[in-house]
Amino acid sequence: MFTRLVAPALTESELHATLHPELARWFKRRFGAFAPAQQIAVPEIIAGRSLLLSSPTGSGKTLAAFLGVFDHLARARDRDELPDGIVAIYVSPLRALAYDLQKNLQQPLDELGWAWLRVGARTGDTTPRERARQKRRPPHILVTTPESLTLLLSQPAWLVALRHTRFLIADELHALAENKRGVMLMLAAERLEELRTADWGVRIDPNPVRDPQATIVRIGLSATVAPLETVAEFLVGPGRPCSIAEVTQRKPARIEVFSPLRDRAYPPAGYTASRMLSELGTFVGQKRTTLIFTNTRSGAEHIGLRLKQLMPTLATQIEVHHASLDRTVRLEVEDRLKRGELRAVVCSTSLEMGIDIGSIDTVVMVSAPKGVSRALQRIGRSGHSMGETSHGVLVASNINDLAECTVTARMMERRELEPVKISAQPLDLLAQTLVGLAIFESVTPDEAFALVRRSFPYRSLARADFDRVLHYLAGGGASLEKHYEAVFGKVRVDARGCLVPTSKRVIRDYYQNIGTIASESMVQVRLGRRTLGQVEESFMKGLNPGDVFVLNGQTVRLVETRLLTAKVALATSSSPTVPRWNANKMPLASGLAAEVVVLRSEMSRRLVGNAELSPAAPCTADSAAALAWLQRDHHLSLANARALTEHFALQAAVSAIPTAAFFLVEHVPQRGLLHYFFHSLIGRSANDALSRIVAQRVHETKGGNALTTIDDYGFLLTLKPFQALTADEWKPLFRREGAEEALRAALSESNLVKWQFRGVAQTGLMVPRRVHGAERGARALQWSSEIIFEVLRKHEPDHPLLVEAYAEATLRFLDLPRAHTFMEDVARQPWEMRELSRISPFAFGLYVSRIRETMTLEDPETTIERLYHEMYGDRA
Amino acid sequence: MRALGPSSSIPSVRSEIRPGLWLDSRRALWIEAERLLVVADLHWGYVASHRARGHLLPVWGDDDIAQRLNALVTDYRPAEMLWLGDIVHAAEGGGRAEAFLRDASVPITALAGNHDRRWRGAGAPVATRGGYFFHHGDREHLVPEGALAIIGHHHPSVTWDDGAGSRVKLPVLVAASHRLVLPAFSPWAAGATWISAAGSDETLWAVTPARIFALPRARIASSLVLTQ
Repeated sequence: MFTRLVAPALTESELHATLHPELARWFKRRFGAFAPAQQIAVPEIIAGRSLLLSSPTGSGKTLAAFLGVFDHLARARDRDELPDGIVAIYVSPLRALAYDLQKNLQQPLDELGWAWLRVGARTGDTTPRERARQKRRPPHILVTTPESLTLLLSQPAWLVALRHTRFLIADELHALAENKRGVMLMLAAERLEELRTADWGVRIDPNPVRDPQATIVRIGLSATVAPLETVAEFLVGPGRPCSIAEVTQRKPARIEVFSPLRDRAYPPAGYTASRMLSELGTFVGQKRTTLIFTNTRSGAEHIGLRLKQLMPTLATQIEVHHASLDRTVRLEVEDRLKRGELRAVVCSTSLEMGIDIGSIDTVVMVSAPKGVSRALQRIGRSGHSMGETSHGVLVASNINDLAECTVTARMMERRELEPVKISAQPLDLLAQTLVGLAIFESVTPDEAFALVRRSFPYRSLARADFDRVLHYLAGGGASLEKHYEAVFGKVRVDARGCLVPTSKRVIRDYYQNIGTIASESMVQVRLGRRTLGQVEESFMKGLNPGDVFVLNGQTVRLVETRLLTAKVALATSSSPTVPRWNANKMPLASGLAAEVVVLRSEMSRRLVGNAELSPAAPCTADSAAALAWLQRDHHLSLANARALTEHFALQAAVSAIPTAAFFLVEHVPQRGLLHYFFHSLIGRSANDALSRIVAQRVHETKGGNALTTIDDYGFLLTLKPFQALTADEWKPLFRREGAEEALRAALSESNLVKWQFRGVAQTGLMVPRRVHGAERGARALQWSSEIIFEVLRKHEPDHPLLVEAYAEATLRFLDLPRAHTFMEDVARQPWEMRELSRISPFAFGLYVSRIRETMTLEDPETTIERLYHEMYGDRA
Repeated sequence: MRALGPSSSIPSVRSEIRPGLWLDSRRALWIEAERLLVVADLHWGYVASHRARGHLLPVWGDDDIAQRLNALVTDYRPAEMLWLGDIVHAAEGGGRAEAFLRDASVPITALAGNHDRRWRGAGAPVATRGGYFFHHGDREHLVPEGALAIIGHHHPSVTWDDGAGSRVKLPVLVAASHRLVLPAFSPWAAGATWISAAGSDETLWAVTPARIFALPRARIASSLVLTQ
């Protein structure tokens, strides 16, 4: 089914000879030789085989795809068979990328003198005039997004132009495969297939559903991704052939771990923050262009501001980039970066992929990137032209980070990627798709079911689930009202057995609400008449007028908030008062978590020998062995190795180092509260699920509530003395059986599923986001979906959109499967319950995130350092 | 506060917010002297109206309105019931509203609200009973000298947020010296956060099915900051 390409099918000269002569001449003049990605990919595309091309950013893979497309178009022109319609569709998850690409394609076409070849971009930003022009004269190559493509496929007038489609190029497939937008693209791909094979005859009978044979060459372009077979199957659909080409990093990469921690795990308060900043300053000062990644938007703002303050002469050449910034601000930063006018850009995740950002010498990641794929993707942004060395620096800002960065660097060298998580059969998107198909009034439910099942995400969709979605769209559901007669569905099955929309309005609403991005509503932040950017509603809710925060590199004071806007004033000389502690929201990938456990086990073996379960004996640490091992096997500096060793030694002295051999639970009574620390190193999302399950069971067995705190390394339950539990009582609370039910019970009263439901209700078109072209007020949306949620929960718990909201909450937001695995593991392991009089160093991170509310005026890391010394004294 | 007798099918409590004025947890006001039962913002046909416009909300709500109204009538045996406007959500609610009016065992006066424009069943915009002046609250009306204005329209509510993920939103009755703003009767109205003007003498009475309580002023201030 999948053919792994190990060597190019054609030699360099053969490929030159195979390409259309005009194209071959132009390429030779322009580039000389083919890049490895091009040499392996182009012959496949020319031969008409679908292909997944995985290669690092900057390896020329976009051009590889288009060389094949250009070749096809030129030959069609030579034969005078060039269709007056779309031949190739390029889809990118980023609008900005679509524009960039259109520009980048135009340049070679100009050089080739191919004025006959039309390229057009179609995104949400395309003007009505341009849209009308495209409809009259469709481009040969259409550059678009999953949403816009779906929109075109849902307009009968566009089908004629789309039925010639021969190539579908999906860029950044690794990103698309992980979310519902990718699912949407794959459904669009199936509809394109149907169009090509539909029986057109004389009269156009626009039935977009008929034949399962694949005829479109699908080209998936992806950066670092694994497993390739799964992504290939996602690209082409189950049962269809696909070639796989993996071009590995040929350009040398240099990965370093750096931490301002010197010798001590927790230096004096304020030391780390200032040292890290001065080190970052050194990088920026030495290098031509430095790209700094932080894990959060507020983190990017924070570091951007401090860097500007630290280096006033370079302040105008240091910029911030993240998704909350106004689009024009972002575009300007990107342009300046490309033109080489900037020395440093501090970004969150917004520059991880996409647009060519010019030449970057060094990529710095502040705080552990939480995943190997992500780290490699980020590092790929440097040396962004073939042959240059990538240089990446992992900057660990605290001791946990240092352990994480240490293993991340190792795994990056070994390229141990996390497996992709593909959205499984989202029911809300299915509902949206069925409305889109009903527009044609010629598709039966059976045909629609067959169509969606040909896509990978819905390959095992049960007919019962499909029918439930259809029932919902037909206006059905458990009718709870005695007198109710009017049903008002969106879609019904007519006398011929075809899906049809119930009114013109259904179609109009659908066109306006295509999409799956149900992001949290954003509040516009206005400084005078200028929009500075946007921040999440939830962030704004936590602020009071007078609070000072940072946005777009500027310190501003909140003046007042309205429904969806906030007025701010400049507060240049003030320090921010808003804590930024909820830093790493991205969960630690499971492979990395396992590797940290290995590190802990190895350190424990060297520091306390094999007597891991011995009662807290005085630390007879052979720290020399541990130190040497860290330096030799992990390339840590002596100072960093010392800090890490000291941290582990102190943990061994105060409690025990949790390893793969046992499950450590620490109990610390404190001022009328009982803290139970569970060292379950399974990542934030899985700990979120696990802690809710255990808290629910505490409630069931002992009554009362439990305050839960989670991070990647474990979770903390804070209980009242009447809820005290012994080790033997804790064990059954971690049992695997019934865990799902316990989580469901725990979630029923939480806001998490309600939040998920809001997005699902929008995507599933229950409560469309846009009505008559205007965005609904976020507050109106909020309350109606909250009540809908409650009503469904009570009266119609198997409603497909409610089912979807639970699935999203438990599988995507919470990692229930991983929590399950952990519960199974821990049942077989010995438990070690330690009664402690103070918080252990490994539990300290959890403990301080519990009290984050009190941290305001100083840098969070500084507060933590101070608290640490209060707790452990100067020895630490 | 005291629980009502067993005659009611729906458990409820009530609280005397002024001498002779009782707030019932089913979101109704009982004026003892006039034997008058007042509810505001029923929004009959909320779901039907939404469905007619393409929002596939679950079919629920009108029966809940009818049940609560019937239970209130059974419990209080009022001389008259007053519906303070927004009787229907849109024209689609007319059928259910008219059916209830037709079958009711007590006289019902339905004042017109802004949602009732397309419904012919609504009567005058204002009414006076004893020392009370009633209107929906969407427009200004001249309140007779010495009368207490009683209105709806605003769907007042408060939200509490403990900063740790727990958040509750409760409908409230807003009691000022010169007027009362009733909570919405509609089960679909989660409410809009009520912001007391600076220096106002308002008391907010929060309503839950099992409890009615006046909110201390300081608490209102802090919770409002959180939800703004």
